[in-house]
Amino acid sequence: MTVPLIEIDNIHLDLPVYDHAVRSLKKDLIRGLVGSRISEGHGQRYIRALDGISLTVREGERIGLVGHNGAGKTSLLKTIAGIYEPTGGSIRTAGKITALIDIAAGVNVEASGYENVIMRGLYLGQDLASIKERMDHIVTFSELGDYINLPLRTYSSGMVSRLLFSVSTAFEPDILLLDEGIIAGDPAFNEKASHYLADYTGRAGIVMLASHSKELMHMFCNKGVKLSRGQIEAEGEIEELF
Amino acid sequence: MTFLAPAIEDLSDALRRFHLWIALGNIEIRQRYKRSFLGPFWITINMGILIFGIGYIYAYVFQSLHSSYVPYLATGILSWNLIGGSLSEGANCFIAAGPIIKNITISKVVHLFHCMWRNVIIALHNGLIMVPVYLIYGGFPGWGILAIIPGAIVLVLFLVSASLLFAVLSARYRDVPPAIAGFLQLAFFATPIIWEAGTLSHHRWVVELNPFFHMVECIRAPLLQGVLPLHSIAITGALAIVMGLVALAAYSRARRRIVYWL
Repeated sequence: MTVPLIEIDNIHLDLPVYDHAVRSLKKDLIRGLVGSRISEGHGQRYIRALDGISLTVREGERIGLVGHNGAGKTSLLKTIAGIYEPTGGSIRTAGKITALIDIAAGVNVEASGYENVIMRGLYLGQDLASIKERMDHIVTFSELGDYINLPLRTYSSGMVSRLLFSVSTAFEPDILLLDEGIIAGDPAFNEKASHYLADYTGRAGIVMLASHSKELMHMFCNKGVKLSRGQIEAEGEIEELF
Repeated sequence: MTFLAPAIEDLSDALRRFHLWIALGNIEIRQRYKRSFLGPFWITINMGILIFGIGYIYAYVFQSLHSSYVPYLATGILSWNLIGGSLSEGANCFIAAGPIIKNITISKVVHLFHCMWRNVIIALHNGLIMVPVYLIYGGFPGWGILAIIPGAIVLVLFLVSASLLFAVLSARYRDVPPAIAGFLQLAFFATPIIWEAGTLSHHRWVVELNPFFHMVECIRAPLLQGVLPLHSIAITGALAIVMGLVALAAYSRARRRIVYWL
């Protein structure tokens, strides 16, 4: 069994911007409001999304990522997940990673909940047999009942979130990366989800959650990291970061 | 070759995940026809309407016998549908999978195979139309029809290679998909599918130099004459190898950046 670990050493991430319609006013506004930095080189415009981040996350830690929109929370999660490759610095992870960042990604609204579970499970690297074996657990945990056989377009957004959360945790990833969009909105389920995650990190696992909500942070996390302009501004108790 | 190593890694990873793209393709096809009574067989029926309708009229236009023209047209359109469909959808496969690429870490070649598999299923449904064609007009080639297996394999290899290259280019340069669509339309009319190659007599070289003719032949010759079109298969195979290497090189260079282009 792998001991989950995330070791980030001074990473930088420059996101290229391919939209040539970005005008200087907009650029200035973004710089002022959002806090990311935009640079140009070789005729190519970049946004420096992460700027020298070093962080080590060990088993049992549930990290809450705090920060303004554009502070780099999602970019950091996507870099850890391997979706983005850092422009500089190094990142080392041990353990199976599941990222749940954008609720709309990879769901098929015309397909049933059941079919979506199968598809997501396959995307997560499971085979059909093990997905079907976990199906009962997923249906029970997501509290979807008979809805599981209806197309996803009949679901409320809370139901989609519950389904995705249940599938993503069903195969026990070592590292779970979450965006608050996934869990916001359903207090009763959040309670259950947070207990589940606490229990799961108790059994050795890492959770990272990007959120604006102090309440969610308290519910889900045991440590906080505050990002600002792509850098770590503070690290420590969640209470101190707000 | 070390330069291509990550691309080959992605390729073999995608091959290992055949459960995934086969299931995705199947679910999509089922979905498309979910609330219809005939389901995916609408693919076959629409193909039948096209072939028998156009075939009936154009046999008069070209003054050929229905018994030779309709099977010729049917097999040509079957091949073309696979070629044109795969290339135009393949070019869009990364763009279409954008939300997934941006959120789920998985070999991007999976999205190409998913698209390709969907087109193969559609081709298989279309292929059923050959049953009434053989029944009405005769000409079933017997065991010779098995020549379609090597022909189809080589053709699909080419289509996968070309689609991978087009998909990389399309993700980066959004002018590529409409350009490909326009080019394919020209290719359809410039390739002997509706008309027969023989009618060109002195200008047959136009056909011989047309790679699409050889691709169509990979499937048409086995279905029509029950023969293995070695010449056409060799040309398609050679193109598949060249295209495959170019596509792998392009994908190697682009694979980390594709996510930013979507």
